Amino acid sequence: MSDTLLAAAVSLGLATVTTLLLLLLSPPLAWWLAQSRSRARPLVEALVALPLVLPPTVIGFYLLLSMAPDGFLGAPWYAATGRALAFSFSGLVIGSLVYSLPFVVQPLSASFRTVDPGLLEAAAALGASPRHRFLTLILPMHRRALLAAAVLGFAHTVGEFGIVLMIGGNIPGETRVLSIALFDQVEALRYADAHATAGLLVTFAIATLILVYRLQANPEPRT
Amino acid sequence: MTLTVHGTVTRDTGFAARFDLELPLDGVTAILGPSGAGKSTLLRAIAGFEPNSRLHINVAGETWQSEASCRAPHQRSVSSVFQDSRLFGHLDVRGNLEYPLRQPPRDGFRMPFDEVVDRLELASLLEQRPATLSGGQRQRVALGRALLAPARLWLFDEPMSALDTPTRAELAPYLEQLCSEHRLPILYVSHALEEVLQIADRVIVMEAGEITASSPIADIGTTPLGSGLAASVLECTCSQYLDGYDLTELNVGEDRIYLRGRVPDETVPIRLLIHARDISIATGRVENLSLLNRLKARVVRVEDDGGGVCLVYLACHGQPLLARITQLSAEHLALAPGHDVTALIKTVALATLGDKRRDSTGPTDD
Repeated sequence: MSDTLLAAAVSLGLATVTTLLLLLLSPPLAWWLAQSRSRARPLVEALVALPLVLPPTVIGFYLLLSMAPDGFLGAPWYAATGRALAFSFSGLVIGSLVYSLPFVVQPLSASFRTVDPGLLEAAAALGASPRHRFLTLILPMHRRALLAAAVLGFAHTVGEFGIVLMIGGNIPGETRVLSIALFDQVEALRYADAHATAGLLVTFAIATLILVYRLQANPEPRT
Repeated sequence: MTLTVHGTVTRDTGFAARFDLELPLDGVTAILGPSGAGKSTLLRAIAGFEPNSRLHINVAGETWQSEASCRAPHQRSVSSVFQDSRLFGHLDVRGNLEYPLRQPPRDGFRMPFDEVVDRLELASLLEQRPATLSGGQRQRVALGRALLAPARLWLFDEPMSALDTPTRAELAPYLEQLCSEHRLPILYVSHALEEVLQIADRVIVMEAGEITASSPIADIGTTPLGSGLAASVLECTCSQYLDGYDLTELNVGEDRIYLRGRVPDETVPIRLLIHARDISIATGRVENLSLLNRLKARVVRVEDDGGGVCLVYLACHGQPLLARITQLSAEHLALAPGHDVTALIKTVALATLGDKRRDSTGPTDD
């Protein structure tokens, strides 16, 4: 059972770090996707959505190559930290960012598309710069959507398997997450432990989904 | 200090407007005209919200937009009040009012916070959310918020048109007071002359994207604004309130006009709006007629307005008066410049912002 708890701790740590980073990265990207008329937008949208349709092992394969000591992520990482990126917690975080990005960006972007442009014009006429409008109007007006997106991103990171399998390996306390632990427990025919791990994941998934749907059912408070 | 706007604005929908205007940055300029004429487009272009514009905009000597440069909306010293108040729902009234105060400084006049709260009587609303306010209260907050953003020019885009008549009457005095005390430079888009009469210093009329008429408000009787808006403004002084008849007696020279009801302040001169269609003309002695409002006037000129109708320009105690009568009547009466006539006025409106029209029909009038 203790290996389940250790794996749960890694999963929670990974999901927390990933979610926090996603909360920094996703809102500006989602806003750009919601507002931009650039011809590059469909391309960026497609790239963001790619993890939804590709097998995780494909993404994991390319991430593994790029995280190799001579890869385009691995080489600068090694130069900066003296450590390898592949099979490390940091490598898992990068993989999770890519994998969970659409789950945070897409609902945010959908919510941002409902912004009344008249309110933004009013704010501009009052002297607010685009950046200030984003921070003081768009983000606070979409608190619920932000929270829902964060919960989805967190839950999705906890449920990750394929990418972790490819780039994380199976190092207890570092890269061994719950889904990997479950795989090992079943392989070793430890069904009691497997039941505990699987039950934990199911309970967690149901709870988070209920939370997300409750957040999405109530519209943002508006004027 | 002037505002100049030259150039064109186009939309993806094919709409195009051409502007060629120069206005003093002093007092209220009313912009009238049918819907779709480009009134709001002009305001949006000045504020910087029309991306497809080839405009040269200069405000008080500063170029805001030209072929070479274009200031972002938030860097233009202009503040807007919209038809829908556009308050920020996640902030309370105080948060909305303080929103412009948290922005980086830009040049222009800004009213002190306490004065805005005081003048617009917002103190009791400060902790409320916009969703809990009435339409008139919301518009008062929007007005206050706009006055707290530093500006060289205020843009009012039909601030009254979403409000019902009683609410307009409630908001009007606030607006009149603010306009007259500070002489704020305001471009005020409206579709009713009555709404802007008491506060406007000049009127411009737009049709199909072009400015078709421009006139100081007192002179609209000599420079007609277009047939739909043919009217004149008569300045009068109050003489007395006739209690038994519920009429206020007004003086225009030695003639009198009677206005239904009481005026708010009998010591100040008031402007009456008289639509050209509401004036009849009589020659010779006028006797035994129920119409109370008769003004001596002299014909200045008679102009064909098309469709068997003509405009008769009158001078009434030194003030212009415009009548619209049929060609047939004009020929029957043989109206010609220099003739003395009597102008019979069916209704006069004490035009205030709140559209509180009071008809001066006499007790036995039709």
